[in-house]
Amino acid sequence: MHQYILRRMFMLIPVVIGVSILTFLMIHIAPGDPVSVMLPDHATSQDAELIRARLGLDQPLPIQYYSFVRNAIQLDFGQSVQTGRRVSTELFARWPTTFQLTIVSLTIAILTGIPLGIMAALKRASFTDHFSMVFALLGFCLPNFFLALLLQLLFGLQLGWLPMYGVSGPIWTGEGLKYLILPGLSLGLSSAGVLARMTRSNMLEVIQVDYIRTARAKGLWERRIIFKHALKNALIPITTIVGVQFGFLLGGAFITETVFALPGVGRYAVNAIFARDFPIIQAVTLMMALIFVLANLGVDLLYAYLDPRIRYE
Amino acid sequence: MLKYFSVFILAMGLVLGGLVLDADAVQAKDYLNIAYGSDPVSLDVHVAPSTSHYHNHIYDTLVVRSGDGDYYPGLASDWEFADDGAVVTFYLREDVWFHDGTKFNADAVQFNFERILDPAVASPHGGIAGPITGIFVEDEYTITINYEEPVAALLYNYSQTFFGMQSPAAIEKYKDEYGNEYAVGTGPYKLDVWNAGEEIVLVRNEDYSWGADFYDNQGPAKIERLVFQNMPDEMTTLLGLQGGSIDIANIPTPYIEIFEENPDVDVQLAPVGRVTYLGINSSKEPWSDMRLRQAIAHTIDREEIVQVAMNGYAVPNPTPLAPGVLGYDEDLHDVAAPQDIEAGKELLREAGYNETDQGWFDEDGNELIFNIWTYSTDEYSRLAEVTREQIIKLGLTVTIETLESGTLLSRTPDGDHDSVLIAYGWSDPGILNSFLHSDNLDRSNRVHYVNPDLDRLLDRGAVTVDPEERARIYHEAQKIIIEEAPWIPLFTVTNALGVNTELQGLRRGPGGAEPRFLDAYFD
Repeated sequence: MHQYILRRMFMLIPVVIGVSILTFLMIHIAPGDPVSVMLPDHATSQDAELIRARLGLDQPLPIQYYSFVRNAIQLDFGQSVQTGRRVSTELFARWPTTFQLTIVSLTIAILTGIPLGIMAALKRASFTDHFSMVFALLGFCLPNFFLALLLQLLFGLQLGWLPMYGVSGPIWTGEGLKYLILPGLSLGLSSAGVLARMTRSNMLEVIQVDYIRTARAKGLWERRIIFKHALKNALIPITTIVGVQFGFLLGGAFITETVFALPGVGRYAVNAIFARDFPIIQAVTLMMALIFVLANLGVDLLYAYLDPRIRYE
Repeated sequence: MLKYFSVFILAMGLVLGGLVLDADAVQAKDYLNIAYGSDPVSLDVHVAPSTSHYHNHIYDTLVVRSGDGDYYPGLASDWEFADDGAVVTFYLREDVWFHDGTKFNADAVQFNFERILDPAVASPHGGIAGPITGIFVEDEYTITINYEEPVAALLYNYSQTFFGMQSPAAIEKYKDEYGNEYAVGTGPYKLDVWNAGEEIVLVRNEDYSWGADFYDNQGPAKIERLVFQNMPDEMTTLLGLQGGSIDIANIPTPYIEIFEENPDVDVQLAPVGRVTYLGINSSKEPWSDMRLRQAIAHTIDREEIVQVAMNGYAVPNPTPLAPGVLGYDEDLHDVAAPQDIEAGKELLREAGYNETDQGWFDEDGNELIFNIWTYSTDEYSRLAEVTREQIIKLGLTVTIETLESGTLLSRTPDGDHDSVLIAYGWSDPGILNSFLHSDNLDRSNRVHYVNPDLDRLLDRGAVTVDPEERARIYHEAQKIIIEEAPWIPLFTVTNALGVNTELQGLRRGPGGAEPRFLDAYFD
């Protein structure tokens, strides 16, 4: 097991190198350079040359890549081309917001999606089933920003129960949590939709298999059958979805962060893309690649726990 | 479509929200929440490519341009030109202190100018500082600057916040942190804290006593704190304004009417010196043929564009300069091609094109296609659609390509486009040099227009100090631009600022866009 984890961690190295080269190339092939985005109309060509030189953009690409790698190894992602701020400092400052938003929305997704899926499967073709599936469909289909807007209108503007935008402290203070409920709902409900549908179909499949019938035949409690025998087996594919979702959310939910004016990683990254601020783009892409690999590893390890037949050597 | 739906939602919110919020009496308060869209690159104005609200309140300039375009003493109580404008002497106020307690004097001014010109700082504003040959401190409060040649736009340029005076002591002390963590000027507000992505908080400078004459109040501002909240999303900003948690925000044109019905929000309309134009690539075949550009000009109905695309919140303007800018001339409206489709078609025929059911073709059977590049925002996309509908009346095929702003700005210098729908905001005619002089083909001359006559006029305009003479030069220059149609100017925008009704005494800064708070107070 330990060896397996070590081996998986070792595989991170080629992934990171590959991702870094790919991002570097993509950024430099894509149209637009930071200087032309940044320059005001009244700047002269001489002004432009000076800025290009100051930022090191007049250097050949391989040299730029080399200095990027040399610094990145020391976890130094350099300075933002635009603002001159240290990328690592900025990223760490924004990380907590994104992380907490991820926690809140995943919790909402799991707490609503999975129970709804189970209920729908158990009471198949009933009102509960239809209701859950319509809910899931809505959650899944409603565009994120639109749901956000509706939530802001209802709970923020009209009822005045929850703040409409912004942040205030960490979530373990009640006040901080309040600010993340609406963003968490608008993100979490779409994942909840996916989870509900997956749970339902998996449960339906599992409920019909032989060992459930055996369990029923030997007179086990219905509750025990469902939670111990059926759910545990049905959960395996769902774990994958939760894991991937976790990775996605940690990369920053750009739209939600924008609509709710949250200072998170996603917004930071997208602004950087518009400004062609490549040290930031590189740092965020690398980080996302790492998170995805780690999240997948986490999911694989959970498999082994949920299904003892799965072993890693 | 989405936009209209959003309008509906917002209207609904107003009706429902009004019921709840009427109950909350707004307390007199000593701070303002002001929405802003995106973080500045830096609070160091020598380095920041553009300035906004927050810069303007932290820094003062030597010269101040009032909302109606006159120049008032700022940190310089007087100035004097010599040698036909190639030498300027500034007499500084003697009672001014930076926020960090250091004295403002001629040494500080010298430091600031030298920093802007320093290649290591690489300020994007070095060019508009003028061709400086020497900066001389005459005495503690007198400074003389020499130029290679007269700089006609000198007062205008130096009234821009880019030339705001920053504390030399603070810059030396904080080094790289200056502009991020720290910003020290002489303005009516001091930087308290900037949490990137979240807020910029300014607090009143209690020692302030050097407000420009056109303010009623020269002393400390009446409002204690300005809290600039980073609100990247338009709808959220408007909901905040609607709900009263935001006191000041820009209102995009589609939403103006909704807010005019809100008793808690005062919609303040002001013309902005910002010209929106269709620029045609004058170096690219076939649009290098002037007749083709003129044919396009003949299709434009500015009134319709303003009504349909801007909901009427703009002023049709067929000239390259905005009203209020030196050289703007109403008479030039008559030079612009009137909407006349037949005349346009005649020009296309003259240029060797034949009209068929499928469009216009040259003798070799190549179809004439007009492509418009513009930004991918709602406003510009809508604008491009309306403009296309007008040009299509020629029987021409017109396509639109919307590009993300970074792509648009970086690709137009390459010259692959037929035309670009874009805007600029700058209230000195010298800016035409950037956009239409052949020196700037690699950058800001995005229409790739080359005309030696115009170059000569623009060169003269840049060094002619006498305002009347200068206005005449730009009159001629604009006439060429309108007639040869590298630019088809469309309109100047009206800016709508939503302001909490309780707030009184708000003044618009030069150019009309950003408010100044020296006189502002809560009723």
